[in-house]
Amino acid sequence: MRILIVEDDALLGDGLQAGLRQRGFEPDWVRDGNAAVLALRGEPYAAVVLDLGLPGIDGMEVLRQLRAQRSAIPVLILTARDAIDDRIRGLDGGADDYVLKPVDIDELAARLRALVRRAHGEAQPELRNGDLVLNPAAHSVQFRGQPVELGAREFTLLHELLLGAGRVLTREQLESRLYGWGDEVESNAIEVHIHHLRRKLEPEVIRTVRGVGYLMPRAN
Amino acid sequence: MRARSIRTQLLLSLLGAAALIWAITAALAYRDALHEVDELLDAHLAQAATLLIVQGGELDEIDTEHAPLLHKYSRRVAFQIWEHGTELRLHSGNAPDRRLSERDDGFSDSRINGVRWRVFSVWNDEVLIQVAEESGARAAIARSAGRNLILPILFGLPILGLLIAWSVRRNLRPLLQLSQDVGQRAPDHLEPIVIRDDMPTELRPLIEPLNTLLAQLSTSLESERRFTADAAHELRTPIAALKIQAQVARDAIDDTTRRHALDQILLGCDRAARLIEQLLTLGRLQPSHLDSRASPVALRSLAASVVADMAPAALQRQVELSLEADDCVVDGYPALLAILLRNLIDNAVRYGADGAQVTVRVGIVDGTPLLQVIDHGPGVAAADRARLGQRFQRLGRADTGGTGLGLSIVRRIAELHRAELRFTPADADTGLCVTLHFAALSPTSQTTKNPGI
Repeated sequence: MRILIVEDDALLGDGLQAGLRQRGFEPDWVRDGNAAVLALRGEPYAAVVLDLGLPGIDGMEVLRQLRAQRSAIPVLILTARDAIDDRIRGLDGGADDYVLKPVDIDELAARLRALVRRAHGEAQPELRNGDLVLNPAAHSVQFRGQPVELGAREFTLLHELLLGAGRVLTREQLESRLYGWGDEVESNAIEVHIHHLRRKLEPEVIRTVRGVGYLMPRAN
Repeated sequence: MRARSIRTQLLLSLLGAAALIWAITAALAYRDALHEVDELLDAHLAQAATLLIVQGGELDEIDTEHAPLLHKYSRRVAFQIWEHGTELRLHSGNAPDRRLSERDDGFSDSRINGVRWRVFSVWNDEVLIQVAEESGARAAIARSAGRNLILPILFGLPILGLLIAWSVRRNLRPLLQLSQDVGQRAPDHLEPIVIRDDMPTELRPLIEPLNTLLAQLSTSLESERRFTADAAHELRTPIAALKIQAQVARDAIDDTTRRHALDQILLGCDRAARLIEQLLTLGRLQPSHLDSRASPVALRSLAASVVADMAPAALQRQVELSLEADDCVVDGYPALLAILLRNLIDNAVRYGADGAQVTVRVGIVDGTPLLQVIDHGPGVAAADRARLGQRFQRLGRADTGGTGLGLSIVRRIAELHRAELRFTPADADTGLCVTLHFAALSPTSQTTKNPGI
């Protein structure tokens, strides 16, 4: 799951990136408002961790521009500003969560998972489709009641397909949601991961729409 | 010295003064009354004597034994009629046998058989008429008249006292209210005291400076409060970084990640320590905390020592530090000026271009002592220059490790020296030249030669 971290503090940004990566996210990190606006324009992030006090464009302005472009991406404000007024302004300004520094990285990860789940209209912590159950927090997958061992990329790919169940996802979309900046992407990487998933689960779980992409049919 | 209440003082002095004047008035009135009564009674004596003389021809027809008692005081009035001055022809019942007075005319005092008399004598060649009155009775009459005059005055005194007390109390009420208003204030209630229309004009000179003081207190309290809040905010980010890096290190599977996170933690500790140090420096820069007085400072040697201190660290960043200095003495605090210069050089090295020069200049231009630190970095946009020196404002790149407090400290020290701080581009529109304009030298400090640092 790709996350954009907008944080001007070098140590904190570095820590957030490392910590979220350890917890199964694919985080990118930018240090100012301008870079954040550019990154959000081009990349399909699942959520944003946004600091407010930024050089250049302020965090609130980034949020305003994001919402002005009708983007529904979940935004978690992570800031040192603890005044009630700031919290209200942040949440009313379009943020989905407001977290004060210092934060526990596990809590931050959990909040991000919850935000992403909610953004896809899910209330249950586990994603289900027929016999397939995926738990983002535990990083576990069960198929027909049996645990399935998946690699990190395979898990993320399955997660994306489950979140978009019933819709066709193009190979480009999947690539951009799986890989952060600087990741080496083989041209057939998605095909390889799909192939592994089909083998570990069942071929019918993921359908190919030739020339377009992949689809996980919604089970009734 | 014992505390004294204005009310008690006023009451005591007013009552004392009133009582004194009262007493003098009463004494004078009493004396006047005595004197007047004396005159009046004398006149009566003379009148009585004159009446007797007029009736002198018909002496035989007067009942010698029974002179009538017409008034309560009459018993004490006596008369004698001496024919040819030797034979007592007629006398009142209470008159003695001897002559009332040896004198033949006018007023006299005498003492007969232990009784003191006031006597009026008149002599008309045939008879000597003496009319007398007991002195004791006269004194009693006079005293009674005097008493009657004084009594209302004595009764009036307590009433006057009450009136004075009431009036003092009433007029001091605004003062009492003011003291209650000030006394009941909570320590953080620093709104100005409201000047009401009914307040006496004498109180205003007290309230106005008090309000000025309250305003100053309020400002400094507010700035302390803001400073504490700002400081707490600024510490949140490094602590957040430390915590998350620690969690990353704890959960790291591979050594590279763990080592990197631990390095970051060490870096974070250094930075938090530096931030705290800067905060403490800034906190100490209150005029009330300065323990010494300003003294003449030789800027040139001070700058030389600071530049020498900082050159090695600058060289590590590939920045060449240089000093161009003339002799220049300013009034100031050498330790603070060193902190100021260190911060300016630190900023110039941190934000200036890599591999460039940073120049420190000391000298006198148009009679004004100047201290300049010039870098050739990207500079600061005109719009952002106003924000320079505000607390926790980091402009430009965030990865320089600055605390955002350096220029606040510089600004504060400049204010303490009443020096003006200016930011201008060093080159056409890049680089930054920070100039500190000191106040023109006072003649006394100019004569002092390098007192050393």
